[in-house]
Amino acid sequence: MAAINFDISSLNFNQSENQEQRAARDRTKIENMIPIKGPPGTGKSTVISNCCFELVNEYSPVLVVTPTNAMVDSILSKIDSLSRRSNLRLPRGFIIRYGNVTELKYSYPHLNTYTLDSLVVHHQANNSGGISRIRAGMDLMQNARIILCTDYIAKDLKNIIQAGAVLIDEAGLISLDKMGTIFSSLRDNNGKVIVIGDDKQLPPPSHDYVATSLFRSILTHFSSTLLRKEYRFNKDILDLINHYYDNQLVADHSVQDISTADIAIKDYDGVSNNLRKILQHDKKIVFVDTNDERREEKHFVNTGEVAIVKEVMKGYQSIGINNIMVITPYKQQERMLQLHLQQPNRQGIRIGTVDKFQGQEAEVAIISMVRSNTWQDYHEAIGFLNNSRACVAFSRGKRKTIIVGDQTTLTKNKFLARAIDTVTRKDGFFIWRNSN
Amino acid sequence: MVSSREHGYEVASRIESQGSANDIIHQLEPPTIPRISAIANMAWCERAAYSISFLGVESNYLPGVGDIGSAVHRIVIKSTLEIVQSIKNGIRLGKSDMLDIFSSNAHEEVDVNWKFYMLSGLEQPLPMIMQDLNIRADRLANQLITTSHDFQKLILRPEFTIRNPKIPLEGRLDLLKIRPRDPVPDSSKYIASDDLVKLNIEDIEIVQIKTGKTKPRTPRVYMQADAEALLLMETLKLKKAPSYTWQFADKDVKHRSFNFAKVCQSINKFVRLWKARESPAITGYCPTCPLKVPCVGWHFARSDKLSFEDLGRRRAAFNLSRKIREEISDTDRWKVYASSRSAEERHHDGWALTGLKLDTSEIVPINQEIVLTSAEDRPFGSFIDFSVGDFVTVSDGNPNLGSNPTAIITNIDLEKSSVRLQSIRNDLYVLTHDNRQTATFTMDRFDFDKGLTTIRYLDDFFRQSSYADKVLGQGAVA
Repeated sequence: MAAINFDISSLNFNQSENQEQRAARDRTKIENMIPIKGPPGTGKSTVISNCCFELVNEYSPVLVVTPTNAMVDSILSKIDSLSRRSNLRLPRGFIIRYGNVTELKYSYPHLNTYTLDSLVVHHQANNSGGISRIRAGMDLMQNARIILCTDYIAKDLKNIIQAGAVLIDEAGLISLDKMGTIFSSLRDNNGKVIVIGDDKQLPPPSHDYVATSLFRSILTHFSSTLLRKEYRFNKDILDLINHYYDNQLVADHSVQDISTADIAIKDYDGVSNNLRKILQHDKKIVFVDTNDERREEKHFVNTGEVAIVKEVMKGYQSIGINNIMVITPYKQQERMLQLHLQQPNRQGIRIGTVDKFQGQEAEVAIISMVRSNTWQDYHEAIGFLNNSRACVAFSRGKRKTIIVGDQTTLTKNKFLARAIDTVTRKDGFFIWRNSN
Repeated sequence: MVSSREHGYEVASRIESQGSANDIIHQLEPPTIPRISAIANMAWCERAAYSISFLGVESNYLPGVGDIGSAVHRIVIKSTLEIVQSIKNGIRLGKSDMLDIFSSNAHEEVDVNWKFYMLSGLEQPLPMIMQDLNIRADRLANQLITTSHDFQKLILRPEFTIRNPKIPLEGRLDLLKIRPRDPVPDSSKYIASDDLVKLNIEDIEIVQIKTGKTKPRTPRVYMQADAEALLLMETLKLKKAPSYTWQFADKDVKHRSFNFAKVCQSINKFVRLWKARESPAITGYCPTCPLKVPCVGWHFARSDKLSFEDLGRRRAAFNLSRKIREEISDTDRWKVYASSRSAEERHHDGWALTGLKLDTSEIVPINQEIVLTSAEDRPFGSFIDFSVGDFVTVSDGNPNLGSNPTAIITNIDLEKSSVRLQSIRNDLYVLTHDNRQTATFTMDRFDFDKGLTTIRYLDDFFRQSSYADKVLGQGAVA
């Protein structure tokens, strides 16, 4: 493959880049280690896709690494969009998506051309002399300019490619050993490292304090760029979490007023009056208080909340909104929700834990908080449901966030108490009665 | 369909009464279960206890060697099973037919696993594989012809993994040849691993495949064999030691005398060191250490041989190693294996899907794809905890014993109550040998990507990356 250099100015960054994103990209020209703090919805994927093209001339191959395949696919779609928007005609094999692509063919089928399997077939077909798949794969990987994969896969690649730059998304979720592997794939110590994440969101899924502190350690040792403008959710939802970020975040004008009214395709016919109050389009954040009546059960299951979530979800489906994320902090509650919300064709509705959904978004988020007890001690009453986990949960919905929980228990936590207070001030507090 | 609310309470109360998998893990002492090869290392070098989790089986750094070895291993097992199955079915195979089976399986192996070879930088793995296989296949074909009448009575188990909480070891045996004393009542029925324990066993032969021609066995290899034999005896309640064969390309070598006392002694030493948490006060290194490269170079070098900076980095690495070791003991990695719940119970609480049948018309060898279909009388509606892209392991319901090929879910068809799987490696043969395809399977979640990471990568990081000190901060100044 012939080396192709870009005139960076020909890339259409302006449509997708704000001041801080631009500053982050500019840092890649002069610095080697660039930490970027990206709170929810602040365009981390956009920064990564822009930085890829910024670096690709001098530092290829650029290795883009994230903790999950869904995140890799999402970044690939951003890179693809940018190249299409800028009318770039990239040769086949310029970008390679490596690793487990089973989800890609469902979520972004048009991006299948970037997968190694697809590229190898094409490469073999165009090689008149006959070439083995292994040789074709080696050729492609060694000539690729941008490679995207998960942190787990990255360790295998270091045998055959030596990256000029690595970009690590959701770096706060990547444990130290995986991070070490990724750094080791740089061909020299002058390689560029861009780590993007949010130290206020969840740490790696482990109890390892070293791993937990790694991203923070990088932030301590190097100056970071904070992305302040968020593009995911409306201003009311932003208000739920903004104090956690010292009120530094600002909603972009394109999203600050969005609501479910923009996407509902039916009227409220058949929805009970009480449920209608919760679904109202102008109520963008809602707290549904279970009123001490639906206590948590063993192993952090709250079947009472499941019933409420089911009603709310059916309400949204009846007005034609299906892009719904049902979130809960606890795995057992997730299973219970899966059991009770099971439908033959549950298209658009996703159910999972907070940890599973970090980095993802939906039009409407319904959160089952589970905890409802009489413990006086905060740690016993709330425990695992800490600030960072609640912050991630509250920031998944774009147009509406509905929190289902027991006010009395949850207000033992200051962060949650403040969130409930914010909801109440915006007239979104409801007490669930069985008559609903 | 599991849909009643009451069911949730039942599940919760059952878990409560039996304890969660994590509870079981924490009841086990010591907190993790090392592979036999790791403990064999440890027996010869006490300092390996520092990072035994990571040293594991990573004994060499030559590119591609491990890949060729495991490819030969898979091809030999798969070919042997296919040939034996044909003999059991009354099909007469000549020597050239048998050699063809070895050869075609070698080609298939390279076709299926081409990405692994690409990542190892091996452009042409087939000649390297055939170098070993040509000698071995010829010899094995002769053996299989002369002993073909014996196969009618043998029960074969490939890739037999054993974990026994009472002995903190994990062993993976390449091939077991089990000879029952009494004839098996229904020879067309697959004998599940639970039922193997109940068999009246006359003798068992362990066959461990070794790549390349015969070479001298090191004390470490002997000890590994001793530990594997002991573990098998305890697990299957054997009264006498099994026979043990190292199958090299050119020769079968028998291991004749076992030293079980030494195995127990080593386990005790391991447990003691592990529980101590802190490294023993050792200076210098053992001159007979088989782990010379990692030991001498950095991990276990004398303190006065290291610069101040290296000393700090090493301390940080050891602390990290210890933390990760603790982390490993907490992960879901062992959850499947340590679970005391039956396949049915795991099915109901969402960890597994059981009662699955292999759809033999849907096997696609080149893509390593299979379809597992739920039995008609078993609703698929409780299929709640899996999604496309998840890693799973397929077993006969008890993944603690028996073979566990791992796969990715590529499609779920709720209408047909079926799930399509793509194998991670070329190891689907373990689902089809000895009439196993007629048995029911259980698919369990297998979060192995969150599991063990070898020290090799950490080591690269600390040795090579200029960022290590900066990132760790405390490393440079400790």
